[in-house]
Amino acid sequence: MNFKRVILVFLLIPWLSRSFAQKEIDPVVDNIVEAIATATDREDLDLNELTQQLYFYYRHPLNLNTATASELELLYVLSDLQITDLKKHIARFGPLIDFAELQTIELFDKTTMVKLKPFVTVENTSFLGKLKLSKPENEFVLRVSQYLEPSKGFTSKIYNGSPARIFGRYSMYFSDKINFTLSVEKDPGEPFFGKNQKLGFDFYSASLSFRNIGRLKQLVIGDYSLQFGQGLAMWTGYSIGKSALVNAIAKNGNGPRPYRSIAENGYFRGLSASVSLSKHLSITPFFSYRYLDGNLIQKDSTDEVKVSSLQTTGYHRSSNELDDKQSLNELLVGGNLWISPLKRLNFSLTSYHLQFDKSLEQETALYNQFGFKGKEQTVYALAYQLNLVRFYFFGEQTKVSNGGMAFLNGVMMSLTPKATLTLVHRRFDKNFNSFYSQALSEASTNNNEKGFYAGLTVNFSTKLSLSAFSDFFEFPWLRYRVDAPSKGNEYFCMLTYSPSKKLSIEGRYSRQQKEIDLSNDASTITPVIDVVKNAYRVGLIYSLNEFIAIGNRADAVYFNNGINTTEKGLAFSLSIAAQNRSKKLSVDSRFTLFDTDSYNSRIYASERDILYSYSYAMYQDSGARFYINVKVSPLKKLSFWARYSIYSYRNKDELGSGNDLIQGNKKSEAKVQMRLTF
Amino acid sequence: MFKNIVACVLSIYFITGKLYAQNLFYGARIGALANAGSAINDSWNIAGNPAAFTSVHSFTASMGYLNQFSSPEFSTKAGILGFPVKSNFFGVSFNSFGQNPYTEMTTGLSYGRSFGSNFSIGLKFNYHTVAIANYGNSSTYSIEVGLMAKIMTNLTIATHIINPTRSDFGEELQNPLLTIFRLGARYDLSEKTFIVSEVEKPISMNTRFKTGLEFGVFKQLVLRGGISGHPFQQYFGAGYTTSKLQINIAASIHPSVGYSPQMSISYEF
Repeated sequence: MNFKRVILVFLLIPWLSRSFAQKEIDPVVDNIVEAIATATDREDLDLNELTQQLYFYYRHPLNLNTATASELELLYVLSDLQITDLKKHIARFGPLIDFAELQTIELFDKTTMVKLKPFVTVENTSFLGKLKLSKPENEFVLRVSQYLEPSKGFTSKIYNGSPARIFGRYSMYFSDKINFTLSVEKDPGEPFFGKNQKLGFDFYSASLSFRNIGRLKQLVIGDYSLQFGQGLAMWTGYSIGKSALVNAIAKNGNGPRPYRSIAENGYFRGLSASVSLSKHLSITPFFSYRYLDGNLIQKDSTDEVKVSSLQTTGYHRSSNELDDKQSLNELLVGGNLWISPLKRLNFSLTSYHLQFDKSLEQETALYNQFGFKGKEQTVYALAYQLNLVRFYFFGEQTKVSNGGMAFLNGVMMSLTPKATLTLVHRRFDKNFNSFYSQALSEASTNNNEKGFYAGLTVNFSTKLSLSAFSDFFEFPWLRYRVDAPSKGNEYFCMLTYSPSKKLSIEGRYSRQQKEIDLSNDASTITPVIDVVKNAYRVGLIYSLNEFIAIGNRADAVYFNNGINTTEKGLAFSLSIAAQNRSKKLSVDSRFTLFDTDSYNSRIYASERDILYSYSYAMYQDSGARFYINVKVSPLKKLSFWARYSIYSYRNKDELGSGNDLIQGNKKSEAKVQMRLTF
Repeated sequence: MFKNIVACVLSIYFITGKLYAQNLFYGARIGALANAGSAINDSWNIAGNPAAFTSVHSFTASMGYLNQFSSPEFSTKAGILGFPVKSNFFGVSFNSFGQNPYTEMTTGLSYGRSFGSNFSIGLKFNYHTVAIANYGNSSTYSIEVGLMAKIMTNLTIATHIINPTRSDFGEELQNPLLTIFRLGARYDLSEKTFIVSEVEKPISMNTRFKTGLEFGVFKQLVLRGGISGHPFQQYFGAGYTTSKLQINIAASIHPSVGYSPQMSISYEF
């Protein structure tokens, strides 16, 4: 043991313990989830899984000396370069003595350490791999929510069930080794017991998982998610794309994990295990059999029954939707082999075969003529990671049996300890039809795209930091609503300035240019035109003391297609979060005034919601948005939440369309939740 | 005749880009600072941002008059009363706009509460009446909320939301009460000199940016000026202060309809 190092660490401890004294007060997890939600601004991102993951590590901190790279990455605090640096440091000097020792690692600055502290510990490594059965921890969550204005589906009795949404989940943990989770859900309009739904809830999900027991790294029985490599072959659950988290583009597949979300797609049902055969080799087989929703078609009675489209909403409200429910099944078998021939190099080989019981055949249009057709598919992928001093190379190459290939290769560089640059090149063939790809792309699917991404973060000081990215993309074939090969680009820049602990100011600008069809054009040949969207945002958050924090935000969006007048969108908001001295009662609320000309100039904003929920507001047309969340914890083990939210529009007498049509100019929702731990 | 006058009032409103049934008169001090007053602690914020009148130390009364575009048909008469009870602040405001045949009246009750010296919140209830001769009267209620925080020794930020509940006069009257979001900041350059800026966003109307400067020449005399956009207007004014009495005068210049003089007198008992 290096004596000088020990002395240095102990000198650092008093300074650090002061700066981390706030741990109990900060709603750390909420803040990180909110930051990710705000950063990504993606409506479809399911952060439920992430929230639970972070709460789990908050209660059971990760041991920095034994945590794997993928576990550390799940915290969304450290970059791959920092993780590598940490591993190098441990390899060179032995296990960390104290958290403060991170100070001595070059790439760890104070900001990172403050963020990391709540989720990690530094412990002796001798307990590694042994199963210790402690007293189980149980958690029970029950949530009921409802839109207060009945939509057409309910007033005209198209939906078979009540407008309430009911969700329940029970989890049991034996330390961080064994976990059992059962989730149930009924969406609004779905029948609850009775003749249409004898099972009660519409969706049930359960999993039993074991981790880090001897050679067994992970075993999941039941519902699980899978993430390998860079997500080009297999990635289910949330995946962060282009966003303010510019370096989160480099992914690190975690393999199988228990599925605890309630999105009724994007999970597998069966069995998966990850076994480490040696230090350099581990194997992860997986098997899944589940039902999917699809729209069935049959041209005439003698013809084969085919599936024209897959339904992923998970709604089973009307008789049409109930007809599509579980109309086809999917069998998926595959495996992953992880090899690390050198210390800083590893390969991940993934292959799987999926088989549907009915053949899938989309209605053919010119743009989707290279889409998936048939009953089965085999996917092969090779991913790699290589660390060389200040460079971290990563990539994945994938081939589908009845289609093309996809490539993604990138490098992350630590230019200086304060500046990080990520470069990623991607090329997806137009006939690369993989169902479970979620790699970096401009389009929502990983096909028919070429692109080059560059992301940069600079921490000028602990007070001022910059995140920026640029992305150029090209679509060699037609797309939905784009009747020609097209191209585009996107720029993003964000400056964050925190002059004191109490004040943080953020400004961001983004510009996206791409080619789309000119809509509402009368000519027979639809021209493809260049559209430009400029978006600006200024936000500030100021905490008055540890009990009250106030936020203001202004958004402006300008959309121009070069022909019509510029479409504008504006939104201003005030938010307040407060809690009482005993922390048993907390309230947060936001009021937003918005005024947008069109759908093109709409504005998205992530909203704070009650625990395990997440919501995004979309501001379109003119109106106001308001929400309030209240949390009461009368006992340590028992908490209650309530939420009320409302959209109120100007100059409208009906909202929505189809079965979601609401009479009037208001749409409001009420939500209540209970959480019990024992 | 009546129709013509009403049409004239409304058309001038259109020209000036101001179609609020809320007549926003905040006294001649704030008026000289381009009405960017949400972050200025002033007794006239009893009629404005209810979180920003916590400077009222004792019973205070004030009266003001705004002669918009130098024409009596567009004149506003307004008054305020305010008093503190420890860290609670109470205020009453009254505002009357126009002449027969078209008049608007607003009566407001304000409540402000300060938490320490750096933070205050406020709530205001309004009762609005619009009377048009030979057409009848219409009235409604609305609320306003405000918040002001001193986040650094020389920086104050305030938010004022007018009519967040989006109440209106119902179907019979076409000029509804607007929902307005005001976000203001005050930066102190010295003890008697500061800059204010404000962004004001009324629903379905252009965002207005307003900024002003107050300069303390000597203890009793201050000079003020300001500009605002949509439409571009310039403002200037002066104030004379003794220990109990405060007299403020101001004027704004509109590019097409000219000067609007205003004044207000306050007395602190």
